[in-house]
Parts: sequence; structure tokens; C-alpha cells
Amino acid sequence: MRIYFTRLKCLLRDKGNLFWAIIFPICLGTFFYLGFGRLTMDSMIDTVDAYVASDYTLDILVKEMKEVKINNDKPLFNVDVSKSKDELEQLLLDNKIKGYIYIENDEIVYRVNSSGLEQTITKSFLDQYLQITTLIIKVNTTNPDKLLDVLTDLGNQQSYVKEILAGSNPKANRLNIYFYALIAMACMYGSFWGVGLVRDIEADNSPLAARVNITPTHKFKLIIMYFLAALTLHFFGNVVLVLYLKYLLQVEFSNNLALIILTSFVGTIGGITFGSFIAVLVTGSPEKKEGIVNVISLFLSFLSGLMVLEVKYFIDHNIPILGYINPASLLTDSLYSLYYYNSISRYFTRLAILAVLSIVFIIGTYIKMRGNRYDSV
Amino acid sequence: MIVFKLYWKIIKKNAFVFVVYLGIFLLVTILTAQSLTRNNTKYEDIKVRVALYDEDNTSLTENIKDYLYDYVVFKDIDRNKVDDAFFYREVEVIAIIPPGFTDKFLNNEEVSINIKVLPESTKAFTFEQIINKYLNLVRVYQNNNLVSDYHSEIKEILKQEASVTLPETTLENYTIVHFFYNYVAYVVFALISTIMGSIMVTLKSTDIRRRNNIGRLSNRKLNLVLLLCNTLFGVGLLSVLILLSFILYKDSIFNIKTLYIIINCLIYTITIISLTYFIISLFESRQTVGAIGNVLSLGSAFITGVFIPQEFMNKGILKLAQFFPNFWYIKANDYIAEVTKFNFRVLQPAFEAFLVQIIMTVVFIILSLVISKRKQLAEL
Repeated sequence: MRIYFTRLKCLLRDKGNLFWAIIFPICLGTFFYLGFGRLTMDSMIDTVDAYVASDYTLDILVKEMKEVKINNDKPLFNVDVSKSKDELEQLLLDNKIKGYIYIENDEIVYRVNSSGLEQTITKSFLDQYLQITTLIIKVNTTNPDKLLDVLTDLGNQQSYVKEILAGSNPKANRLNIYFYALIAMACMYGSFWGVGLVRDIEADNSPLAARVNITPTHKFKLIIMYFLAALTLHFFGNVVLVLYLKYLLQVEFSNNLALIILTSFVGTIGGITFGSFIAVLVTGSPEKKEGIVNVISLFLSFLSGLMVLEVKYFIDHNIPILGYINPASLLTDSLYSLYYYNSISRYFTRLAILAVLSIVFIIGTYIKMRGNRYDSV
Repeated sequence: MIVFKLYWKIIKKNAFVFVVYLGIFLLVTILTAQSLTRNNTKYEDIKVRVALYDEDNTSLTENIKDYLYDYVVFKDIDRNKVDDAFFYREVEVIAIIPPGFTDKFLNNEEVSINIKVLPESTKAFTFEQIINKYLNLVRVYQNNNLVSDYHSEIKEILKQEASVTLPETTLENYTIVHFFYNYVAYVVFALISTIMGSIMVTLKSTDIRRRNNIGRLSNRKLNLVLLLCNTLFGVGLLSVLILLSFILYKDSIFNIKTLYIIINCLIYTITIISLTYFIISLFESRQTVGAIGNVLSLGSAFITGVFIPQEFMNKGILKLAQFFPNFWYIKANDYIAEVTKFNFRVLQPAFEAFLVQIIMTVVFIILSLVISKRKQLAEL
């Protein structure tokens, strides 16, 4: 027990690691929040600006455009018929407007400078206008007696779709993945403590470790105590991070706080054991090991969507195995399952795999460290 | 020359770690590039990505699918995985035609296709319009017994479309190259701050600095040579990235825009070098420099529009972001990617962004020289 408290004190003095473990994720979370805290990447339907050339206009079309609505109180188009075709062309070339409409020789022309959602909505309306006109003309020539009925039917537009809310939350914001990946990264940064653990136990790593090695304390006991001290500290940091994100920055999480905390607990174990595993595999100075652990942790977090969230989806669908062996992905995914699916089974599967991975790391570390005796270092 | 040689000696000594860094960041860049979808070149309607599950299987639903084929992009996704796909917007609409749909529809009863969409999104609106347009036409045809083969008749009518024209300067598929270079902002920042940081810190230990001070070389000259070495090194890194972009996007990269973007990139790299140099002159320890480099590179990438496009971002945050060189780099890139004409008048906003970066560079260099001199004097 004394070893545990002494170790905790040692770790608290390690400013660099404290920074990586606790301050860095919080800084980054703040940056995330500043960058896109209240953002969604989906464009929401809103009134579209539409320009019709004043010298090439068609009154009935403009009237129709003014009448369409998104819902009861919002029109679909904000129609501007005040500028001439030449003026609009200049605006278009200067990228001031996205497109304009003019009618020449009974033909509706929509002139645009790029493809886009607004353009698609406008064009789709123009198409529909043309198509209905065509239908009416056609009925008028082939079945003029039915024209009145057809017009009534056309006027009586119905909706054939119904939005459903089943299985998962459709309003889920995918940007939240960034925050989940951040928690995963914070857990992965527990690996620095893992490196420290190896550094201070393996005799060829530091003078301190050499001294520790000649004490009669069993190595396994040392490893466990050092590990527990690191776990205490890092887990504490992670809980602070989760609470900070959830309550201060109001990031959307699942409501089940206990399970989120459990994730970060298992994640912390995964991170520390991962770090010590890498540290026993790589030979060289502790700085070199830290550098490598840093870049690998960052890379694994990248694969789980920390920098570009499409990457996570890409990996999940093209190289799914990678999602199952990458601790950071497992963490991000378990938080995602909780948030989006409310699915406990998927959540626990991810966490169980991570636990198994951690055990593999522990066994690996112990096998490499066990029985290392040094005649001289 | 001695300083110059020393610089490369340090690099050689740390080559392994640097190569790992470079390798991983290149991998990151390639993976990111691959995960993005490519767009097409001419005007095209933006099509909604739909996963449709037909549980009714009648001639009407076949017709619906046949019709939709022209207006949406069908995604064939396993029903179990479709929620995942929806979350990441691989599909934007999940549509399920329920059993008995056709019977009810033909009897004029109230009936609907169940869709899962983001409520009130543009894509939801578009999809609803597309479906309603067709089914309303079918209803009109059926109710009035206009023709027997309503489907081909309706398709005939739907061929009537407004014509779309574009200014002569054609649109090009530049989105992906544009994204690549925006992303380079992060890679350059992260690589330079970590690698350069660890090289320069080596020279800063008190003993080495004292020894350098009694040398013949003046402090200013030493700093300038180091700055030059760093610039060479940074430009070298940048060329690797540029080369990568030429390999990845050989179809679309040969474009006048690329030239301007590369100029922008070069200016940006130099600005980042001087910024890193400034950070190094402020702090002594390897860990602090590494930490600050990491926070700044990743953090600024999020608020200046590297990862999330500037147009989506909060205006207040963008004001803050202006203090970072990446903001101006991205701003210029976004602008260059969008314009269709290239003359001084049109490109002026891009040139202004170049200028801001250059001014930042000068400020950082002056500041680091001043600080370095101060520290040297403080030691005496």
C-alpha cells in the first residue's frame, strides 16, 4: 500500500504527463466546442433566394413561385424580379448570386455557376412547373372533357410520406463523434503512464529503475501497484473530462452517465496497458518511447474519427477488423452506441473486446518483463 | 556552414522517429483523402442518397423505384447496418414501403411510405417532393382513367425539364484537391511543430547555448542560419505532400488553381516555421514545446476551418481564429477553389490573405530574434 501512495505522489509531480493526461484533452475539447459546439453539418430547409430577370420574366411563373411554401408560414422562395438579365449575369460571374432564371422564346432557362442544394430545389420547382403545364396541355388536346377533373385533382396535392422515429435517434448529430473520439484519445493517452511504469521498473531504462530492481519487492507487486496509481490518477482526469464535456460544454451524450464513466474506466485500463506494452516492445530511450506512443495514440484516435469523422465510417465499412482491434475505435463506438442506438448489447460487446485487449496487453507486458535479470546495466 | 551541418546531423540522429512521424501523417492524409467521395464535373442536381426497402413488391412499387432511379442515388445497404449509414449520412433517407401500400393507394385511402430523415432538413424536403410529385401524378392518372400505361406516360411528361446553363468557365472537379490542401494545413503544422521543435530544443540546453555564445558567430546570424535550415526542411516536407497530391489526383490537379494554392501553401509553411520558431524561443523544455505545438496544431485546425468548413462556423469563433495563420491559409484556399476567373481584381481577397500570412511571418521572426537576444543578454 505504501508503494501505491508513494507512486501516486511521484506521478503527481510528473508535470508533462499530467498535461497530456488531463489538460490536453480538456483544451482540445474546448477547441472542439468553439469550433462546432452547436453546429450540425446538415443543411436545414430554408427560404431560397430566387432571381428572375425583369426583362425576361413570366408573370404566372413568378406568381406560382411566390405561392409555394415550405410549411404554413414559410415561403419556399424569396423572389426578386427587380434586376435585368445583364445585371444578374454580372452578379453571377462575381459569385454574388448562385443562379437566376429568365424566359426566352417560351423556354425557361436557369443559369447557375455551380451545383448545389439551393440550385437543385429551384430547378426541381421549375421542372415541376413545366411538367404540370405539359400535362394540362396534353389532357386538353386528348381528353378535353376530363380537363376540369384533372385540374381539381392536381390542385388537391397529397403527401405520401410519413416520418418515423424508430430504432435510433434521427436527430443525432454526427459531430458528437468528435467528442467521443476525444474521450477515446484521453483514454489512449493513459499510455504515457504505461511508458512511465516500464521506465521506472525495467532496470535498463533508468537509474531509478535499476535501484528499484535491487529491492526485494516482487516485480509483479510493483507492476500492480504502479498500475493502480496510474489508473487512479488517469481515471480521475477522465471523469473530470467527461463531466466537463457533459455539463459545462453540454455535449450530447446518452443519459446513462454510469455507463459513460464505465467506458472511460475500461478505456483508461486499456490505455495504460497499451502504453506499457508498446514500451516493452520498443527498445530505446524513454523519450523515444514516449514519442512513438504519442504518435501511435494519435493515429489510433485518428482512425476512430478524431480528426475527420468520415474516416471512422470508412474504416468500419471497409476494414471492419481494424475497428475491433483499435482500442480508440472501440471506445468511440461504445459511446456512439449508447448515444445513437441506446443499445446496451452493442455497447457491452465493444467494452468486452476492449477488456480482452487490455488483458492481452497486460500478459504481453508481463511476459516481456518477467524474469528480466541484469548482471550489470 | 558549421551550423548548417550541425542541423542536418541532428536530423540524421533522430531520423527514425521523424520517419515514423512523416509516415504516419502521410498515411493519415491518404486515408482521409480516400474516405471522401468524389464529385462530378458538370451541373448536376444534388441527389439524395436513399436506402429503400420494399415490403409490398407490386407493380406500383416497382414503378416507384424505376422512377426514383433517375432522381435519387440508391444505396444498397444491409438493413442491419442502415442506421449506422444514416448516422454518418452515407444515406440521407431510409424509406420503407409498408406491406399493403398499393392496395390502399389504389383505393384512395390515406397511406404513406415510412421514411427516416433528419426532420426539416433540405434533403428530407427534397425527397418528400420527389415522391409526392410522382404519386400525385399517378393518382391524377388513375382517378381520371387517362391512359392504361400511366407509368411510361408520366415518365414522358417528366422528361420536360428547365434547361440549365453555366457561364463559359466550366466547373471543374476540384473539391477533392481543395480538401486535400486544406487538410495539409494541419499536417504541416503538426509535423513542423513536432519535428522542428525537437531539433531546436536540442540546441537550447544551457551548456550548448553557453558554448555557442562564446563562439565567433553572432546570435543573430546563428538564428538566421537556423531559420534558413528550418525553412529548407519545411519546404522539403511540403514537397513530399505536394508530390503526394500529384500522385493521388493526377486527373484533376493540373489546373491554374493548383499553382495559386501551392503558392499559398508555401507562404503558409514559412509562416508556421516562424511561428514554431517563436514558440521555441519562448520555452525551453522539449515537453512544453511539444505540448504547445500539439495543442496549437490540432486545436487551431478545429477553429480555423481545416476540419470543419469555415462557412459552417460561428462568426464569433472565426474572429478569434483570425489570430492563427491557418485561418488565412484556408480562407485563401477556399476562395481560390471557388473562383472561375483569374485576374488581379478577382483574386484580390486571396492576395490579401497571403499578405496577412507574410506579415505574421515577419512579426514572428522579429519577436523570436528579440526574445532570443534578450535571453542571451539576461544570461550575462
